[in-house]
Amino acid sequence: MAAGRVDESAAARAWRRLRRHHGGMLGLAIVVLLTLSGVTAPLVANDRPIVCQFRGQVYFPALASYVDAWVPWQSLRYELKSLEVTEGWFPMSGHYVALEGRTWKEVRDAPELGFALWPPVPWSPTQFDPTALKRKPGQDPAHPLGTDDQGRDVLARLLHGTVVAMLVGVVAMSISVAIGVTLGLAAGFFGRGVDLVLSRITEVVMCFPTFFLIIAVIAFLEPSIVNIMMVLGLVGWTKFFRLVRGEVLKVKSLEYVTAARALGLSQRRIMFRHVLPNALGPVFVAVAFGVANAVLAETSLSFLGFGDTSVPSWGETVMQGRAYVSQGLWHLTVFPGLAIFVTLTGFNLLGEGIRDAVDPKLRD
Amino acid sequence: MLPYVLKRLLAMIPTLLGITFVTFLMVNLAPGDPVATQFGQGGGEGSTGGDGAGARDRRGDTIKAKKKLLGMVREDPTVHAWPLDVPPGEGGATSWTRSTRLGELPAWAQALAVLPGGGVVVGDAQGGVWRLDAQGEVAWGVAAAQEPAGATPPRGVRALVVDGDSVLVGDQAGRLSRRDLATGALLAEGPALGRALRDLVVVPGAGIASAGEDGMVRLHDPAGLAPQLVLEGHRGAVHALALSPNGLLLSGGYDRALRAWDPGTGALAVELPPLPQAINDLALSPAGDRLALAGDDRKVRILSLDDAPLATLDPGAARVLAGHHLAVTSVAWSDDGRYLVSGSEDESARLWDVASGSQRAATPDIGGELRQVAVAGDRVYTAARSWRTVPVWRRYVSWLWRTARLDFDRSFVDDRPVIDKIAEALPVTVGLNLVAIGIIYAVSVPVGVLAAVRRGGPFDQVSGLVLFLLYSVPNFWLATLLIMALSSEKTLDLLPSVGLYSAGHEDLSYLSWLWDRISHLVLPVTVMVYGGFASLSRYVRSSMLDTIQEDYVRTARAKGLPEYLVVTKHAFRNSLITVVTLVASLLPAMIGGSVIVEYIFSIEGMGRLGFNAILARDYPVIMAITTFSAVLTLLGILLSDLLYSVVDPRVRTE
Repeated sequence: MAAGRVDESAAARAWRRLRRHHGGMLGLAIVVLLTLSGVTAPLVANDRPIVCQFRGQVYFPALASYVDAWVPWQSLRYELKSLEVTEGWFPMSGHYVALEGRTWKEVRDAPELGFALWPPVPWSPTQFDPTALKRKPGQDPAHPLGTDDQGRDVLARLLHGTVVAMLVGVVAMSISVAIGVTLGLAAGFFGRGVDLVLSRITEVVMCFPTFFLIIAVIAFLEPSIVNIMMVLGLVGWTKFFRLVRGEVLKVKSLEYVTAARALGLSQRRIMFRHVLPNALGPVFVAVAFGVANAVLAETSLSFLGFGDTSVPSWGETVMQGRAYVSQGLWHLTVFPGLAIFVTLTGFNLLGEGIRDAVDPKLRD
Repeated sequence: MLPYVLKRLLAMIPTLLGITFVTFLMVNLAPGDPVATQFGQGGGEGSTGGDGAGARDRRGDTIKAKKKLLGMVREDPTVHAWPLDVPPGEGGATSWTRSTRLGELPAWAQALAVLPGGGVVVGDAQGGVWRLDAQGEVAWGVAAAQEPAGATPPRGVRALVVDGDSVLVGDQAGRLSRRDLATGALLAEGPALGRALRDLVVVPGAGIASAGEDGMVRLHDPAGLAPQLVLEGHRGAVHALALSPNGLLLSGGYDRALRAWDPGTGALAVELPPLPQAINDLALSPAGDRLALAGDDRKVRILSLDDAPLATLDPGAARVLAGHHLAVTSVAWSDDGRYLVSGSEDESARLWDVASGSQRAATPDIGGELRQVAVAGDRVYTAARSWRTVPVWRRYVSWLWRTARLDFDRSFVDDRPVIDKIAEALPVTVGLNLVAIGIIYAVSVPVGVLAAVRRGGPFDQVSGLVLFLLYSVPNFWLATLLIMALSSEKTLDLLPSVGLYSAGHEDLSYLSWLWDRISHLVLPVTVMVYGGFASLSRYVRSSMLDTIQEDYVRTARAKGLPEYLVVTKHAFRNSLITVVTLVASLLPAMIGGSVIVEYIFSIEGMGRLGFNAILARDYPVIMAITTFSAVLTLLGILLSDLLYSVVDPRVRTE
């Protein structure tokens, strides 16, 4: 028995136990792989070269796509791309000037283009290919996984969709965790009136049919990805509230807190240094499952047509697949659905692993 | 038990209030407007942008429509009185921020006549006539006679004029009547002429002149009020009359031309060149030297009558007061002739300095088009189809009260009571969910028990893996895949994917009918249940694992019971109790979550009703469904707590 050492921190023990959990490690691997594919998507699937020499100047045009992928605010995206950042190295707008209104695709065979390293998938997720509408996989060698009804490359959308799914999941969960943990800590630590009021509010929020509420709010607001993150975050905090409140109530009555009080430590120090860290265990478990839920909610919204159409969401492609069932465009349903399925599985597996790793009832 | 139930019920009250409050807020803060969306003019606020006055007006109109539909404003059937105390000097402006409300009539005020001794006579849109004194107290009032609905056109009063100690009333049916000013008693009534009388003037020596919407100016016998002389010549409704100092009767109306008649003979004396648009009102200054015209072209014109013969007047050369942004409906002079008050369809009244032509005051948005303005002494009276804002707390109280009575108003889309629509949709969803929950329990309980009994065995591992993978399958994806595979002409056309029965299912024989129902259920129910398998069987499994470790199970084993009896009688029955209490909390959650399944399979249940209501901005339906689901959830939680406390009495004492 690789006995739990006495001086081992809780986090180190959890990590050690997670490492031995096959499902958890598989989940972690999936999540890491997805993150990597999302991070590298602009370099793998893009209609601009990764690096090229144009009229003697070296450009990194694909880097501009990171702004598209990682900045959820559409106006800020535009602002950032029209900045005049150092010549040559990071040309957001410079290459537009140099190209005289042509796209990178159009200068592919132009004599001014020196060497160029093109991405393996030469399409961006929002680029229309009017010559290849509704292509099935294998029909067109340029589109290995086919195209949708507007001629957008499915593979490029799949790769870039990872960022959308992960961003929504992570940002929405961060909002939920921030609200839930703060309120839960307050309710559990101060008790009495604070607890009563916060618990009632939580009960009210919990009673609402969550998904219906999300659709309603998104339908009334502008369906931008930022709004979707915010609404998902604002609706999903109740779980964390209940977890943290329960844990804080439990931890508060432990001897070491009494000891801290006896030492004359300030309320704030007891609350943040002694109570909170020991009440966070279940939160990590819930975060993993929560990200999965947020990804599911975002793709469901896109599937119902309430998504942000300026970003490549997997749900939107599944929706197109449903619309063209009679034309047999199966690839529009199967591939993005698989991507969602793998993402959900990854986070759920990771959640299971963390749960087993932090569960005090399970011995090493 | 009873105290516990009561305690739980009491604890529900603040939550219920919170639920109604959040629902109320959600709709009251929602941008966009139901009417515009319904007619396909786009949804949120972004789509009604544009800076032109036209766009602003349209947006104002649609916001107002929403407010009216949601009860944010209510009709304001009063006469507003504004102070006329203009400070001396150029540019001095009076502030018209608050008005005094006079009277509380049964319908909007449409016509006004000021009384020499203070006070005002008002005619309302239902045909009632009221005399209000200067403080707004009703001196006398004659409400409209209750007529059978649809029998006659509404008899709204359109014109009032004071004649000595009586008042003359012209209504929308074209009836002229005379009432005693002191008592309100009906003194005489003329025949109904069919079309509304828009204005009245007392012509000394010739009778009473009326402006008819049928294009006629009539002179009525002062005693019997029957028309004696008809002045023909207008090509369109006559809107306004005035009597010039030299005894000519002036009339203006829809055909834009101002005409002057000899009231004695009925001959047309003068016809002036037409204005750009219709004349809505005429007002002669107290000195009789100037004539104000209210135009449909948003302008007030002032003609001087004393420097030239009437026939040579050119309305095009008149002084123009411009400021209103919709048609001017009514004008009135102040007693000293220095100021002019105009009322307009732009929902405001304005005060003008005649000498300089500048605007001195404007009312805030009254919330409805002005019908008539009148001035008496230091007061300006306005009659408008106005709306007043209902305070938020009052709206909330009335929403609470209506919710308590399950009165959710009518749908904006088809005008049916919302509660009827829910009564149709709820059984569909609940029925579907009961089938689904039944199947979930029928599958998950055995699987969970078996997995727990053979913990770590191949069945436990395989079922755990399969269920875990199923749990991660998005339901809309599975639904689309199933439709693609089993319900498409391209592949297998085995099962229907739309609705819960085929058209004409009533005529089928029993067996085919049954097959029709079942085949329609297969796909939606499949999509609804598979996620539940995973969560419930895990719950059963862990609950069984807990019970199997209990002492009484060990005792049962120790006393030599066969293993199947230990499992079924001792372990399973005890773990089942907690599992069964889950039903109560499962049902409402599924009702809220049925949006996607009902959307994909076109099932007319609560989810689809709500989805369509959101698309159509059908606020009453949205409010009703949200409240309904939330309260159902609350009741479900309560029920499962109560069931649990029956099973485990320790809970009650906590």
